[in-house]
Amino acid sequence: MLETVIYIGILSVFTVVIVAILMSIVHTYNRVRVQREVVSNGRLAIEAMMQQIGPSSAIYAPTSVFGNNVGQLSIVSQVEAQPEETVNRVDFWLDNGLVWMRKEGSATTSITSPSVRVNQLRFDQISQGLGREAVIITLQITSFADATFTASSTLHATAALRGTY
Amino acid sequence: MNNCLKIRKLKIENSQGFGLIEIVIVCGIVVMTFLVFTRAEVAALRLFRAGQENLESSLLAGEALEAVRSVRDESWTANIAWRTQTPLASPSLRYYPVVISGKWSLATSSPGLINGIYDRFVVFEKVSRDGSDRIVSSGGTDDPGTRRVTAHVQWGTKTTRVISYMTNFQASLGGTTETKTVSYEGAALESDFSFPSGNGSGDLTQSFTAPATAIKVSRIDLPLRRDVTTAPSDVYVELRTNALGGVLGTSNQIMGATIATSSVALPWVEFRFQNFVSLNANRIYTIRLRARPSATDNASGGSGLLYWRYGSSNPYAGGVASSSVGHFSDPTYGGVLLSNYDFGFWVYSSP
Repeated sequence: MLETVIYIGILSVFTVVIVAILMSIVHTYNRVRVQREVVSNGRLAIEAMMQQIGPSSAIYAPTSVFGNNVGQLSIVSQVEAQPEETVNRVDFWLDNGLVWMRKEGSATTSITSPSVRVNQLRFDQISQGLGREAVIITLQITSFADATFTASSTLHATAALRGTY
Repeated sequence: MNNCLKIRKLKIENSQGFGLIEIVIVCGIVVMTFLVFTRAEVAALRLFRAGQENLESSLLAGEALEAVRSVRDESWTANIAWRTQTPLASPSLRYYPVVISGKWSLATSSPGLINGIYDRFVVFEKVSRDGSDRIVSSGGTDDPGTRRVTAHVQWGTKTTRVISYMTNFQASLGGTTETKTVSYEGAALESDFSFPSGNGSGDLTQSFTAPATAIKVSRIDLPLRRDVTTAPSDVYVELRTNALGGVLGTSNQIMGATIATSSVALPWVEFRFQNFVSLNANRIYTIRLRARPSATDNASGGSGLLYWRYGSSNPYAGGVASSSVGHFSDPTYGGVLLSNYDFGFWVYSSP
């Protein structure tokens, strides 16, 4: 009888410890997953924008919104121009927590996943001299899929338009 | 028979408690195993946290180098060459990339921590080459057209460092030049006119007379200072046939927050036109300072104050200044003629 009580006691303590550890592992896994989502989405979004801005030759001002946390950027590039066109236009904008990209002649695509939310996509224009344009990108991104575990990152990058030289 | 029973009873007594020891040992092993998992979790969390910091810091370092390339493209002599020359040593002082009046600059004092965490600066070093033009770490002679630039991003005890070699490659390319063609430079007053607020007070304008030959305008500089307390809305310039006339060109947008607050060394803020604006000879044109959100609309969301310096006693004969243009969302309102004043301006043209 005494042995049984001791067995049950030990097993109870053991079970509690195991459950606590398992819960901690699940908790950590979720935090890591959320952080990984934020970092990988931020990196991919910034890289996608910089890859397009780098070889472009001009900013298309009428449809660009600078200095606003819900910004939009339209750029003109000679790269990947459609047949019978001399230039290619690319737009980036923030809508409903996602960063969208549209290339002329292609479908609109989201460059961030629905598992994260972009709170700020700000573009600031830099004009350093004659034909020396650049764009400062500020991207503030947070996790969205799981309200319990949150991660956030603010990324800053500058891309110069080098399509003219 | 009795002996057999005694032996069996002895075996049972000897094995009492053996199961308990086994359970304790197994529990210990399992708990230890899970504790190892827990340590792995902590390591994973640290790793991903470090991954996020590395991404943020490496982008900041890349941006610092892009800032240096930008000021290099503007002028090697004015912005790069002197930083490693006597009396400054090589490596140079720390220079902090900051945006002033919509352009990258390199400041000697820190603008503060970025994201509240990261301290960012760049350092320049001289670069020596041997007789075959190869870069050497010691000996050789200084190449005045090449500098080694290291971007540092520091947080806590960690540092991200990115190194790049920058050259004065444009010296051999030539390039397009700009000439100050029309200007009024005597503007020294600033107290009476402020711009832009969100109260619908309208825009400020200054007209000027184009020179005797047709020109292509590439940029207009205005002497602007922002109020210390509240950063103004972003601003841009329109070049028009008159204050309410057709828009011939719209400049880039300058971040209001980056305009200097200093009234001592007042900077001229550079507004650039992406496409050259062609002006006919001897014709009068108007510079209209605009804000986003617009200063012409009441409660537009515009904020802050900006001062455009001016001179009194009608100092510029080729044009006139006006205020309140288009006020209260009235696009036909030509504003109040400031017959006694003229705002400062530089008009640059390119051949």
